Amino acid sequence: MKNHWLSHSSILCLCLIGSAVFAQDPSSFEPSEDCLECHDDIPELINKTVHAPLFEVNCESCHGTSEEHMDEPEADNINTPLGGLGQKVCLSCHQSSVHPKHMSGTAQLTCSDCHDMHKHQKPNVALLSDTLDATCLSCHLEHRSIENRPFGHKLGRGGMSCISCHQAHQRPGQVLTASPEQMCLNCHAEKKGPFVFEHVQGVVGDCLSCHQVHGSSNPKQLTRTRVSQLCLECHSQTTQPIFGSQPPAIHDMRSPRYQNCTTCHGAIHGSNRSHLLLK
Amino acid sequence: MRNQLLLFLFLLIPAALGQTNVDFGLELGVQKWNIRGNEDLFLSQYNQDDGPVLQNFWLSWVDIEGKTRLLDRLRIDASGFGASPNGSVRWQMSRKRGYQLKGSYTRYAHYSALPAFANPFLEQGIVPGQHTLDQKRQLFKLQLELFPHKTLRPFLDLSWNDRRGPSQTTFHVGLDEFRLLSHRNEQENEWVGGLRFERGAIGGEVSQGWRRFEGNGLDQLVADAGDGNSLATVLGNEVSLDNLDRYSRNTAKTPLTHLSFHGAWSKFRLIGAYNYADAESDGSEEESLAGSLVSFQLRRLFAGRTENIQNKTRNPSWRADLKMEADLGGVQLEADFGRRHRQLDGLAMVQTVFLQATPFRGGTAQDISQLLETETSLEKEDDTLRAGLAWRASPNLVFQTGFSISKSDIYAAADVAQIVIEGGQDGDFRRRLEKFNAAVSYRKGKTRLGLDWQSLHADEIVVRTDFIDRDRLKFNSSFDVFSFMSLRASARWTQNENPLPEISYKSEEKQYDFDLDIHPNESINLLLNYGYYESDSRISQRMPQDFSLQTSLYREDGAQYGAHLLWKAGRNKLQLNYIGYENTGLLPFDLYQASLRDDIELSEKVSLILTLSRNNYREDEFVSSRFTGESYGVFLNWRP
Repeated sequence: MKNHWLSHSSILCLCLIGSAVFAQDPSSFEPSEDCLECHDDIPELINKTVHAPLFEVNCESCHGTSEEHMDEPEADNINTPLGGLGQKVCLSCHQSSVHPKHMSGTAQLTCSDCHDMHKHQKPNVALLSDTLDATCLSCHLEHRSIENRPFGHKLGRGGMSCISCHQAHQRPGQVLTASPEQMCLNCHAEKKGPFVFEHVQGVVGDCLSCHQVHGSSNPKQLTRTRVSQLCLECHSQTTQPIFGSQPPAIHDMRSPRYQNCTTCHGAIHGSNRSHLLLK
Repeated sequence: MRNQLLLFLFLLIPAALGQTNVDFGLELGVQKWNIRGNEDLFLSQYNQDDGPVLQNFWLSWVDIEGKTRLLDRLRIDASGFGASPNGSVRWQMSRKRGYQLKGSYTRYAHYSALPAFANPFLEQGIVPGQHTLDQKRQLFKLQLELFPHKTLRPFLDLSWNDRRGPSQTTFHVGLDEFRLLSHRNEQENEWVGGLRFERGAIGGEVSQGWRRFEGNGLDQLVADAGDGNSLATVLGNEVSLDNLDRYSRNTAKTPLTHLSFHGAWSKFRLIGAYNYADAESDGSEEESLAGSLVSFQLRRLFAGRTENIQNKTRNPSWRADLKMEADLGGVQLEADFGRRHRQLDGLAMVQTVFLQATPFRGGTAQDISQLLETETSLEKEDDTLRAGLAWRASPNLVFQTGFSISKSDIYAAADVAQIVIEGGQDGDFRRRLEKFNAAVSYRKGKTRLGLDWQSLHADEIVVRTDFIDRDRLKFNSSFDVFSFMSLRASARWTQNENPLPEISYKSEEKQYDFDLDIHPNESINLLLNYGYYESDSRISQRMPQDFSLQTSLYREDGAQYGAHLLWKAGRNKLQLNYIGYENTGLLPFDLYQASLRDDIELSEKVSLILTLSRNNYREDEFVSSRFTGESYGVFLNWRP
């Protein structure tokens, strides 16, 4: 543990020093004086956001120019980049790093549905207008009840939030490669294998074949209440040519001993010695 | 403790960086829990403890004048450290055109001790049972990108994942299970270095990474567990275990290669990606045990056993995808093709010596040596072809439709050495899946309506629970009933079916959710929600003991209702939350959570926070699993 911290910290320092050599003077958000006459609170707010030091931005960068607005300062005679217009304005800079997944399909979201570009609402991150999980749950209503089931990855605990597993934005290269099991294995690295004898994951399914990851009424976030029920639904004989075999007759399912398959088949996520996943 | 001290010092760095546009907040205090009933189940679900807790820390620091050469922006968010077993800190720092550095450290404590779940010792009154654990996982991530917003951007990503801690498992021999105490120690490190390029509408990424996993585990017999859990004797001999020591090690090394590109020309956009990983693992295990034991396979009683295992696995896999998008004004088209390939070759050598083995029929005791060479082989290829169309009929109305074909081809070689019953464990399995989907969405102002339907059909199944037909319908809507009241509703229906004889699989899921958001003024916000979930599944299965065909039924009917009130009155900000969840399915239970938080503003920069909560869980079948947890907390919020 100590060695890891030392090595990571050393790398961090070296990187920072190297970066500082290449660094150039930043410029800040500089609003037009005409805008400031009315909107004098905006610079202070925006200068505390990610947008302040990165670009030579000013009010006109997003809102355009409008003599009409200067003459008659109404909200509807200046570009207010909401809806489709907002998408175009934001993506003119963020296009390379953001794939508009949420902006297509039935969601049809725009950037301003989740983000407030002018200020960050403490303690929210990424200029979100609400807390991260509340932002997601305002559309994904079903997760409000799913996440409250007794067994699951409870939101808000230990930094566990929707983006721990899901990416609201993706780089183009990630759009095509995200796979369900990889999200689980980012944390549960010990189940990544490869094992000599693997079970389900990467063979005929993924973690979701047996687990309800968001929240479950069943222990261990399983899709079934009893272990034997979950196992036997796959491992039962048919005359069809299917993968998975019938357990031998000694497995008398009327006996409590055999109703807990994982008592003996303990290496259920993969084994390096036993085809039967015994250990 | 030392790590937490380092972390705290890290959080104080900004104080040394000056006062330019600093936004800073700290919420720190103590919590006290009072648990009645089954504490193991409480910890399995909530895992909270008494003591000081860092509830929240945030810092946003911007140097708009560029006086600091090291960085011009820093953002730190931390929460949960202390008595709360889970904590995380994330930070982002950058220097314009210099670098962007993102990092995070997360600590999870995982406690699971379920009294009635898969517990072979329940009849003896031993709880918790077999699969208990009290482990900690730490994750550390660092992402550095140099020269952001330039054409060429080198990057380096590091991650470190550590899991360690005790758990309990069992060792099965004869008719007995013996409790074993395990200790796992596992780490994974990953380094990825590469280059991103971005020039106008064309960009891409190339990277090479190395992942290394190292794990070891020690299993030992629990002190008083040598008698096992069965009173039955084998040929008049009691089965018992005097000692067991098992030590295992495993290492996996995986080089990773990633290439991707995207480009836009006129109305077209092309995205491509290729990933290659070649994992190789090596492992070994040594086990020694002694006692009065029995092997039905050998038809012998024996007094001890030593076992040595060497294993090796190679798992090369790659994935290639290509996607084309076209934006033709009101019509958007997209098509993509992807191929995923995986190969697995594994080998294990198991050398076992049974000590002082005596035949069931009696005779001279002798040592018996067994050598088992066991191997496996798997090859899997998945192809997916998709095409989709979206038509914006008006500024508010969008129609969407799509079609995809997926083909899976799995070849698995049987492990002849360990097969008990032949059949269904090797061969070539193929499945072709066709999917059609259609959706419509309407959006005007704050009114939104969406309907999404998809239908899937497969020609074959690979495992019994695969479907032949699957349909899913999703609906969501939101609108303002009044200027101070908005209503959101969503519904989802899913149906899976496989009518093949001896399987007759059918499952149905329904979920309905409603949110009513009332905000009459800036001081009051009331959110009421209700959710209903219903799951029904049936599938025929053959029972192993007599081959009779029975139906496996699963049912879950869950309803959740909640009320969340935020009320600002004078110097008080009051938050009241109530959640109730009732399940009347196969595992009937009720849970209730009520919490109150009062932020009392002592000054412009300081607030005192009082918290109260009550969590109640009640299972109908296993009464002793019930618990009630109450917490009290006092916190101070400081915003200098």
